[in-house]
Amino acid sequence: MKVIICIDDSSFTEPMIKQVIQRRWHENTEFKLLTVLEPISMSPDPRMTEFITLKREREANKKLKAWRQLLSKEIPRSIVHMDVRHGGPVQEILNAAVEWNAEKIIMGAHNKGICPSLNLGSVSGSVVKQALCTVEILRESENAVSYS
Amino acid sequence: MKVLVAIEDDQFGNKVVDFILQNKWAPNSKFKVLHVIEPFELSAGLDITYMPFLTETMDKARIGAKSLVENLAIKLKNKLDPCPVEAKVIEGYAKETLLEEAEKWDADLICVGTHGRKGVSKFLIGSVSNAIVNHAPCAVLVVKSDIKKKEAEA
Repeated sequence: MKVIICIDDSSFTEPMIKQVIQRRWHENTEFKLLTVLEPISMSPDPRMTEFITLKREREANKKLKAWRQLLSKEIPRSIVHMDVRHGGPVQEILNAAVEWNAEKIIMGAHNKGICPSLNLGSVSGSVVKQALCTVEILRESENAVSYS
Repeated sequence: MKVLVAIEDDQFGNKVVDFILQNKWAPNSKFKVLHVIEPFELSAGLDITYMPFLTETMDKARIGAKSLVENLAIKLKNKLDPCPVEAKVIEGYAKETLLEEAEKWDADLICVGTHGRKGVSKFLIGSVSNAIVNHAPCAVLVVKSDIKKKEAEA
């Protein structure tokens, strides 16, 4: 099975990875850790924009490497890929799923606000609606274990 | 892990069950296959003479629903043994009933199917799936039909 795990900068990433680890997976399940960096338009100087973009990409790769290491360790015989993309999160997640022929996309619901279950997040909501493959939305569980 | 499998009909129910069977589950996982029969509402145009017809239709729906969940539960049980698999039919409004059952049963995951649609509506999922994705207290797995994929490939 080919599974995309969408990683963003939210605090739910760690509990989400933990939930993935707690599941049972067939041997040779392939995971793709995917982060999408949205374009920045803050600087009029293209060199500055490039510098910031590279820095963000380096940082994203560093974080994905750490999660890849953890997944590979905790889910033996799995194959973990990394993908850092630039663009709109919804479109890039959908593109990645089609290009890689993913069978499942795993995303977190952003549990913000006074009623946690009400906030799905616009990216998750759009991906659930538009994806051609199965999508799983994870929510923070009370039994979360810290890996940091 | 407690997995609530919400089934709408035979076609999409089988898709959801097939996807569940592609995954690996802990031996202590529990599954509940659930179908909700929604009530027939009497509209202004229908008078009391329709009651026998409605009662008969509801009876038929109950028999059909029981057979639907039991067949899918057997399909799961055969492949996932020794995991317990329960089949259940509830009457009520689908969104509220499914969410209530998930909460009452303390489900860890709700599995729902969604129809493939064309045109603008391809950007929508069913209203029941949408409500579950938005309001569920736990993780939700939305299994897509092959129709969408085939349409995209065409």
